[in-house]
This record gives sequence, C-alpha cells and structure tokens, in this order.
Amino acid sequence: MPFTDSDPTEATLPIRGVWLHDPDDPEGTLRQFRYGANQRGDSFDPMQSGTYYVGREDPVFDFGEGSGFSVDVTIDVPHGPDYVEVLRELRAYAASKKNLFFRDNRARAVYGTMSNFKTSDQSWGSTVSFTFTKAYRAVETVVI
Amino acid sequence: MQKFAPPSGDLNPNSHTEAEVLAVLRGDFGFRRFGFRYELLTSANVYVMDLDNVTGCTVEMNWLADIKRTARFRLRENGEIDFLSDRIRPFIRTWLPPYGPNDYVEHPQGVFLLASPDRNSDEQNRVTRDVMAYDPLLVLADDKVLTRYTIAAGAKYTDTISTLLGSMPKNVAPSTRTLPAAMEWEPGTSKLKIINELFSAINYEALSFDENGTAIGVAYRSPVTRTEEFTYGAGVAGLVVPNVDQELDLTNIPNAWSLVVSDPDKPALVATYTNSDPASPTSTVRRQRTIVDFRQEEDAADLATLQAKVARLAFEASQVYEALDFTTALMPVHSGNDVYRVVYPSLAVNTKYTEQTWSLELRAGATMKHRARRVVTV
Repeated sequence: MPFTDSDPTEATLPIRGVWLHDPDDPEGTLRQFRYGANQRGDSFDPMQSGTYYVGREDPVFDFGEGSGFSVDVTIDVPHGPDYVEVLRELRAYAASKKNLFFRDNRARAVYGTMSNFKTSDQSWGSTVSFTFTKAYRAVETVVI
Repeated sequence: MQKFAPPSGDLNPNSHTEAEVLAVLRGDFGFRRFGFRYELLTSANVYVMDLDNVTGCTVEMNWLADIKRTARFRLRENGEIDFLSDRIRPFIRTWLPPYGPNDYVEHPQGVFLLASPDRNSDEQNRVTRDVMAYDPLLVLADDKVLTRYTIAAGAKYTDTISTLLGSMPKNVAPSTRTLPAAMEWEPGTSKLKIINELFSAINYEALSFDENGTAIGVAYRSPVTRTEEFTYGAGVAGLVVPNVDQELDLTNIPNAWSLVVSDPDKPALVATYTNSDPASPTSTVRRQRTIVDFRQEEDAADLATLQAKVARLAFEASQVYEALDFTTALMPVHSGNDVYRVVYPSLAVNTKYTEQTWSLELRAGATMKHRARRVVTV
C-alpha cells in the first residue's frame, strides 16, 4: 500500500508510567499503565568474556557483537473499575509470546519480550512485575 | 598462515596495517572485539548472500587428514540453502581502533560443502539443522575415474594435476618435471588419490584448499628451513592458556636393530646396529637395557647393503615426533601446516613447531585448540 512520510515535528512526549504495545498493531494494542513510578530499573550487559593467559596478570576480554539490555518493571494495579481488566491485559501481553514495544517516562524505548511475569496481592490491589528484555528487530529503528 | 592485514578492499576497508592488526589480536589493549559473518556461495563459489541464520560454527583443520578442513554449522531453518550444492564461507571480523564502521579486517576460515543436515525441532518448535561440512577436497575424493586412467610418459606433472582439478580455482606452483614412464590407475580411483600420488612423485605437499577455497599445490619444504610466522609467547603479550601438554613417547623406541636375509641358496646374512651413544636418551647406555627391533626376510644384495639398511633403519627410528597440545586465544589467521614458535617456560619449551591440527569456535570469548609437532632426534 503506498504511503507518504509526514514532515518531521519536534516535540516533547509527556509520557507518564509505562506504555506497551504490539508493534504489528500499535493502534489496536497501545495501553498505558500509570502507576508504579520509581519502581523500575534497567541493566546492560556487553557480554564480554575474559581469559587469563600465561605471563599476564590480568585477563584479556573478548567482545562479540551481541549485548544484553533488560528493564525490570513493576506496575501497581490498584482496585478500581478496571482492576480485573488491567491484570487481564498485562497477562495477555506476557502470554502473547511475541516481541512488544516498551516505553516509559525515563527515556527507555525498546523492542523486546516479557518474561518472569509475576503478580503479588496487596491490600490496595496488586503489583505486577516482569522483565522486559531487548530483542532483535530488523524492520524498524527507534529514535529516543 | 594468513596475513594479519588482508590487502585493502572488502576484507580491509580502511587499509589497516599488519602492526595494527597484530596489536589488537595480541590483546595489547586488554580487549578484542570480534564479529562473525557467513557467506552463502554457489557450487562455483559465487557469492549469493550473507546468512543471518547461522547460530553456531566450529572449524577444524587436520593437516594429516585427506579432507583437511571441516566445519560444523548450526543453522536455523529458513529454506534459503540448497544443502546439496551450496557452500558456506565463514569469516572472522576483527574490529580495530578507532572502531569506526569500516575499521575492521576479515579473515576467511574456508569454503565448505554441506553434508548430513540433521534437522531437529525444540520445545518452541524452532527447527534447526546441525550440518557437517567439508572443504572442496571432498569433491575430488568423491570423483573417481570411470575407466583406466593413464598419463603418458613425458607429460608434465603439474600440467596433469591442473587438468585433473578442472575449473576449480587453483594455485599450483609449476614444475618442469615430466613423467619418466607412463602411469596408470584402476577404474574407481579417486582423483584426489591420483593428484596426491603425482604430487608425491615430485616431492610436493598433498593437495589442500586454502581459506578462500583455492586449491594449493606447493613443493615440500622441511619445517627446519621454514621461517616461523608467529610466536605464541608466555610474556605480557602471551596468548597461551595455562595447561600445555607435551608428548614425547620414547617408551618403545628400539636401541638395537638386527636384519636377517634368509635365502636357501645362500648363506644367511645378518647385520646389526646398536645405539650406544651416551648423548642419546634411548641408547643402551642411557636406558641400561636393550630394546631390539628384529626383522627377517629382508632383501639385500650383499652384507654391505644390509649393513647400510640397518644403519638407515636406526637413523629413521631415532627421528621421533614431539607433540604439543595447547590452547590459545581465538586467532583467525591460521591456515594449514603453519610454522610458529611456542614459548612455555614451565615445560622449558622455546622452539619451532609445525601445526598439525587446530580447531576454533566462531564465538567471541572462545578459545582455540592447537596440536603442533616437531621432529626430535633421540
């Protein structure tokens, strides 16, 4: 189907919380999870391997082209009219077994997969935690 | 051994020098960065595409084997490869300072024909293939003459070999020597066997294929006269992983020889030779015992000839191979029959060796196994 690029526009995205969507259907799957700020963190692993050689006190590290980036995410889901629906949607994302797109208010924006999905009961609702691991995707690049 | 810096071009886009590449491969900066690339080729070695479905690869070289270079690939099934005719050429890419997009050199690791593609499916329904692969010597080992194959007297050896290699890319050092008499082979003889017998007759190395898939024919040169191409040292620039095995088996080396000619029509001839040299570790003096190599039914015209034969036998028996098994950092420049120096103080090793086998996994952080050997006179 033919398409035309729009003119570039500069703007600041006022993102709050966590946004998830399926990159194959962004409009139909985009969902915001507002609660749980300051409960996230990320880790980056350059995946080096060090070897000690005879005559050297310190190892020599070999790097490949691969690296690992993952975000540990915790979302609060308070009781309310959409409580069950939000939990159901989050579980559906985890069960989709496909790459998703993650974006949050700390400039993280990655394609990847959800794993280690857990829910914990709280007096005020539930906390949902998962690991979002960056994955290879050839067809798009993300500019943060 | 390949050059550390390939000629300027696709394999060395920014024309990095030998010294620059050597410094990185030697780990002078405390780290090395590698990438791996796999080219899909047609049966005529014509480039088709880069493969992005290779999930693992190991390459092995055994200089004493008929098929010298082999590989094992793990591939994700995508239907793009014709396993019966396509070939794969793996490359190791070494990134160099200042680490721009074209600051690298690539070293090919061989051209491989694919065989025995076992398919398996895991619990996620991913279909992978474990593929054994061989260098193009396989083509000549499988291709056999259908009728009695005769080469007339007077034919040039190297011209005949070039004809047998057909359209394969080749680099055969020309020789002016010609067949003194016609040679022939039975139907069913492999072309590889014919080529290697012709090479042997003019004292050339057995046929091999280099890392680019080119057939190589060169005159034999003793390792003694060859210059070492690299040093695996044990200093601050060392790349040898601790644990080196040195193997020099002198257990059954004889120190006395006896040859007997028994002919009913003539008196028996007996020639003996004893190694009693105190400088020889296997001599009767050093061992304090005698290990006899006794052979009957020898053929010799007279006693002098038999005495010369026993002396030669004793000399040949005193030339034994010392082997060294060791592991190093990944070094993408090895080829076949490389000559290098190994320095390993704890075994008092500091001498020149010829590479017999090597194996490497195309993975950053993987190590490389070597078996090298040298002739020792005992």
